Amino acid sequence: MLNNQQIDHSTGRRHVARAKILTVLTYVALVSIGVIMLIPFLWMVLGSFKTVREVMQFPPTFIPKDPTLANYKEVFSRLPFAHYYLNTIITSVIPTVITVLTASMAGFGFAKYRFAGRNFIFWLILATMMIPYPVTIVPLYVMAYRAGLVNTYTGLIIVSLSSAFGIFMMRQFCLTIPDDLLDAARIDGSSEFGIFFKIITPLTKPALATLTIFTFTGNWNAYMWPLLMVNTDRLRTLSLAIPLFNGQYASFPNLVYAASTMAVLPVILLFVFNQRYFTEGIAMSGLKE
Amino acid sequence: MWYKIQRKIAPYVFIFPGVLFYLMVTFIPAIIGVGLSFTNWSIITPKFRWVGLRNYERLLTDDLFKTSLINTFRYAVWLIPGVIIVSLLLALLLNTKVRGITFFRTIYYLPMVTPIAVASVIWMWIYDRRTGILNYIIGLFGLAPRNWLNDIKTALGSIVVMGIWLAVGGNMIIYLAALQGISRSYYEAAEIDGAGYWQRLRFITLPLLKPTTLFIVITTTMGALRAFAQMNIMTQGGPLNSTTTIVFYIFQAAFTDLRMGYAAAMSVVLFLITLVLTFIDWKFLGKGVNYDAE
Amino acid sequence: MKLTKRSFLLVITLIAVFALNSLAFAETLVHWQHHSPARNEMVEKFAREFEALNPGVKIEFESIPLSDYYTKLLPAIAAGSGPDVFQLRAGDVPRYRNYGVIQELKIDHAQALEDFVPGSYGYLIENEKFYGLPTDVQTIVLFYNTEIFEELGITEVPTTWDELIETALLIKDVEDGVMYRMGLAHGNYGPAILTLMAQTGTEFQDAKGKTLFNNPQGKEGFKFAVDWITEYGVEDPNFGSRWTAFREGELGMVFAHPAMLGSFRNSHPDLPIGIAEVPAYTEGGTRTNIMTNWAYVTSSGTKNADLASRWIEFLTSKEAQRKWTIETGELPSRIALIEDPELLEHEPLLAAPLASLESAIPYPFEALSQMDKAVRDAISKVIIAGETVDQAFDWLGKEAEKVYKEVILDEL
Repeated sequence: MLNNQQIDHSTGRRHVARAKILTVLTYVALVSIGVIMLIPFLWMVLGSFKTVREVMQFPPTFIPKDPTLANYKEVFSRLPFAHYYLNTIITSVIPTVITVLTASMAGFGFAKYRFAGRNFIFWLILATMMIPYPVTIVPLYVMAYRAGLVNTYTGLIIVSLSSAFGIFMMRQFCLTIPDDLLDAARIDGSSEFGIFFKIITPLTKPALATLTIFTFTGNWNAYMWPLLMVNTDRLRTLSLAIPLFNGQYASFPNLVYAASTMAVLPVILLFVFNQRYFTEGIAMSGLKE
Repeated sequence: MWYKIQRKIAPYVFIFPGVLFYLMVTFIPAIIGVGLSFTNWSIITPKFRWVGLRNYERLLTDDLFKTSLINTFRYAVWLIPGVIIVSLLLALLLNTKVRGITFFRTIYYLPMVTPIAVASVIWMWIYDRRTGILNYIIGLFGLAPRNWLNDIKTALGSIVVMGIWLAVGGNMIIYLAALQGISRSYYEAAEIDGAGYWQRLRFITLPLLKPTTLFIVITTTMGALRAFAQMNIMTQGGPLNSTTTIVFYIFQAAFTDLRMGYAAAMSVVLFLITLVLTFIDWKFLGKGVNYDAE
Repeated sequence: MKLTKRSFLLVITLIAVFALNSLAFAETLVHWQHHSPARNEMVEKFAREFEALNPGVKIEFESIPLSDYYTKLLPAIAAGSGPDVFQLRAGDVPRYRNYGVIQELKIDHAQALEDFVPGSYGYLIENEKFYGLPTDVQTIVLFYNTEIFEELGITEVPTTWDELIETALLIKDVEDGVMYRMGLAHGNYGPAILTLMAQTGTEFQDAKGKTLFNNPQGKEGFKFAVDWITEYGVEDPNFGSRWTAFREGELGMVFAHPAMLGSFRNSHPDLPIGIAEVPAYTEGGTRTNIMTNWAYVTSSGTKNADLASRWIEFLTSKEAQRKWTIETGELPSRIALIEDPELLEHEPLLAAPLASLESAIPYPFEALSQMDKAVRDAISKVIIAGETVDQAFDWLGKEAEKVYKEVILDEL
């Protein structure tokens, strides 16, 4: 008895020591990878405080020698940035809300039901995702023009009300939810929609949060489609405005950095505020068996 | 009765909006795109001729097409495992009880939001021959400096590394979401049975991550086969076409050379390749995944 | 009764006002061009001036980043939603004309032939009729760092190839195999390399796309470009961007477009810059250089072809081009401005760029971006892949024919 306890004690101590080393190693890995991930972003932010001379200097500096806010002032005075923000918010929030809803419903439908045409429709979606856009974008533009959608918010939004990526991802996440759970709900008299909203949605919160942030980022940074669809300042989005600080011969990386930093900020804020949903999945919602 | 009807209709109702909204803007352009591959359309004129399979015949003798296919495969072969291993590793690290998980997750997400044009500037500096940080580091180990992006041997590899950097954050988040979804009761049960970390990883975590891995493998494969942005900004497909990927070539053919028909033919070939690879992934990795509804 | 009459009159007046108003703006011209911040402001100003001169006309101006310009333009043309007036690269004009996308300008063609620099309209005319007027003109000139020249006691700016290399060797600073300062650079840039080839007097391509430069003269020009790197070592491809090097005083001389002056001044206002015409092949030879430019064209679908032509004339008028050159550093295309005192007073360094217009020949291939790439690849074949100059040069000759077949003839 006593003997046993002693053994337990010593292995426990060895355990603690090993755990400590592991923790340190984990942090070393996390931090060093974090630095690689962070530096380009930090470069952009720091660059937005440099003068045009410093930003084009060689070898480059990392920390601004003589930090200035002039770039931000210039960006705001040269272009109606506030208006671009508004446009970008409109063309990002609406499609994101709709996509998250339509993609999660479709993903659930594909994952948890058997029905005629299921595999065919699913593979059709995957297949259309595989054709490179240089070939499809011209016919799509011609269609949009004939429908009178060029230079409209509708035209900007209509192409991103659903996503193959989202449907596929939500399908994969719904697969991991046990069927028993759904059957139990059905026995309790829940409708199929009730199952989706009361069981699937809470259980896939991390996936929904992920999809939200991905879709939002994608819409926020969308470039190609807005480039074709927008011919007026009234509808211009942030990503269209950023290259306007460069020309064929004259480039102003400092202004590009300032404009990009401001453009990126809302996405990062959303990501940070969205954080708690990433961890609120099955593990926390009471599903233990 | 109602119950049965409801269950029959429900899946169609669930998938309808998502499928409609997606196919509405992709299906017809995709069909037209395939149709264009049998024409000599030049984009700027409404006139075109049907040329049958001539575009496809030309592909067989086009050396640049061959080169771009090989480059694309080489890119994909290095990128896909790189992305999957690193993002899974990061997700596993973050899924332990470390402090600051929120902080690290935000940091790892940053490459996804940094505009690629801006990120490319920094990567070009990392790879710079004279003052680049990479040459400084390998210099510490006594290796000779290289002109990474302007060397046929290293240009594509350099772009692969940047591609991994770009894609890891997003996939890490997806893995993390999946990991957070794994019920703790599985682990608790395993711990009672005396299973160590590696055993738990091998017999619980990885099998339960299979649907996610399938998703990540397929989407990363599609992304790798369509790689374009970094080449367009950093190397313009050079030096000597060593970073010309197939979508880069398609883009050039369509929008610079005005050979849309030819670009469409290349796109159809790429589409078929992607389809086959996706199907293989599906058969290979889809096995053993717990598809309750099957 | 009175009231109704009054309101009736009011309604009539309102209708009339609205009708006039809509009539007044019946003529709208949509104008697209590639973007630069300085140019943007100026064209907006020109548009307002033009509107003031032509009541009832409205110019809708859209400025598009150069890298995406064709990506946006082409689908718009395909859909028929394209602009009334837009820019094309000069070499693209013949193809767009053949496809029926653009139309003949409604201007005094004989006058235009006299007014504009011949090098700038080679591609823009068919049977002496203009399909576009030249803008954004660039030649190749020699930029040099006057401080480096002074330091080394170089008093004469090189005027021949021999002097050029001599000077470059003086400037070059290499210690233990490490380059500290380059003497001279072309950056494998198409128009710069083709300038060297053109100086030997070679022709480039005949009307059917057959390569004509595959001769000893052409090869000598090409070899000279390679020699800067391999034989004389005055240029080093591992040295990084030639623009950065020039800004930092680590490069003595560089073949460049005159517009780089504005770019240098903008980031490094105190950089000691000198500009000369490119040196000639031999003593007393012509300072031949390659001109690249864009053209303003009108879409065949435009409803206001006359108005569009007048707007293009306005944009390329003497006064507009003078302002243009002052604001953007891009060269004028009107002969009358070559020795313009006002321009020279504003910027004495413009003397050489303006003079270079007279000895400039148009970029010798229609497919500019494809041939720029081919030239770059040909040099790289020697520098990076270790092929001989003969092999690379032969390849370039064949590639030029291939590009012509694929891109210009659109042969399958």
